[in-house]
Amino acid sequence: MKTMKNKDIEKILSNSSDLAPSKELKDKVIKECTPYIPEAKEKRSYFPLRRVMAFAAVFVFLFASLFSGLGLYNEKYESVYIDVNPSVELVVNRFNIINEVNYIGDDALQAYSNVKLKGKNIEDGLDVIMETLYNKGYFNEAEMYISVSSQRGEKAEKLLNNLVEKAEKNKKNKGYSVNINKEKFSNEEKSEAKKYNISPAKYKLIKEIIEYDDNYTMEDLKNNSMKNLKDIHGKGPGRKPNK
Amino acid sequence: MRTQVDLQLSNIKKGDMESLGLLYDLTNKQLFGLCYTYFKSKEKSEDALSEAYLKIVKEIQKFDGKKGFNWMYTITKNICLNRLKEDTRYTINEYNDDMQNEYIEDEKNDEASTIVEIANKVLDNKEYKILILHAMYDYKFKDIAKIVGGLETTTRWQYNNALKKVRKEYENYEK
Repeated sequence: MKTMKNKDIEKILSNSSDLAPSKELKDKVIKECTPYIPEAKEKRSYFPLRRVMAFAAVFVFLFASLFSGLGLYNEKYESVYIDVNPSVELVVNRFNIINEVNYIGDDALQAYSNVKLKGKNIEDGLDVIMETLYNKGYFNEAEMYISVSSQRGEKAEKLLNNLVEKAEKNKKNKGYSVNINKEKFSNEEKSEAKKYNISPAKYKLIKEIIEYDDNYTMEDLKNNSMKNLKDIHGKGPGRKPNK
Repeated sequence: MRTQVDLQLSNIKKGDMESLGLLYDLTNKQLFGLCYTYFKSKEKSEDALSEAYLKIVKEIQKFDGKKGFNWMYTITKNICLNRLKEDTRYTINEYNDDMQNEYIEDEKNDEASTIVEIANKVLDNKEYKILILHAMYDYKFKDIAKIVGGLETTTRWQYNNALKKVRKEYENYEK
């Protein structure tokens, strides 16, 4: 007698092709069903309102930014003075772009007349100035003073340090015979300097000389180079202020 | 598998014809098994299955995107029940040459056919359905319980009971 286990039954039943649909049935089903399959929907070509509004918002933001940017671009944010004799004032915006150049004295106008500084980044402007001064023979054991005037003290300090560092780098790389100095001045000194048509750093140096030796006047010293003024002042190595 | 069924149904809803073939491959065995438990005839089961797929496609817009197989199963079951109601008006034991040839086709399936005949003979409708759906078409007991009504544990017990009956009858048959 043959015994049959559960698994035998299940296996036989599951392998029985007699109890499965015929292979031809698939073709028949597909043929019969095809006419009733819905048509594929085309993608709607519309411009969703949400996208339009998002796009418009971005556009307005960019437009406003551009306008406000233009205003900021022309803003007089800081003034950088570079004094060798000649002296020049470079007015920069908050992006450190030179948007105004003021030549202080005729020699500055002469020295920088062919130099394009407006629109340059302040550090690039410094490179150009130093190269110009070198080419025109101003860097001969010269003294260069860099000073910054700003409404925000911290920013001025930072910019000043950056420019001095940049100048030192140029000096080292290109072998410029110049001593780099940095100077700070008050608003009062700035406005007083304007009266004499000199840079604030020069005014401050001359003022200090006069404090030591009242035989000098502003008019006597204002046309001197920074090197000469420094020598007179006594800030040169080993020198004491003349009295 | 169920997730695949939902995907193919969704594609058909969007008008993808190729998904119909894929859907058929995924579901035909199980749905055929369901039909077979009602008709116990390959020919009638295929007719019902064919009608089921046609109705599924015609009513595809009613598919809500989830539990696709359950939806297809319900349609198939209702078609089987409707056909059974119609069939009772006619003599079931129709004989023709085609039906005779079906069972002579493949010698390998003789034993399987015998087992099915025995199961048909010794089991009641519910036991037969449980046996065929699980042993032949891999339905899980919890799904079969929903189909036939009752608890999963009860269905499992009924299946084992049905196997014992068929085995006993088969052994007597072999003597």
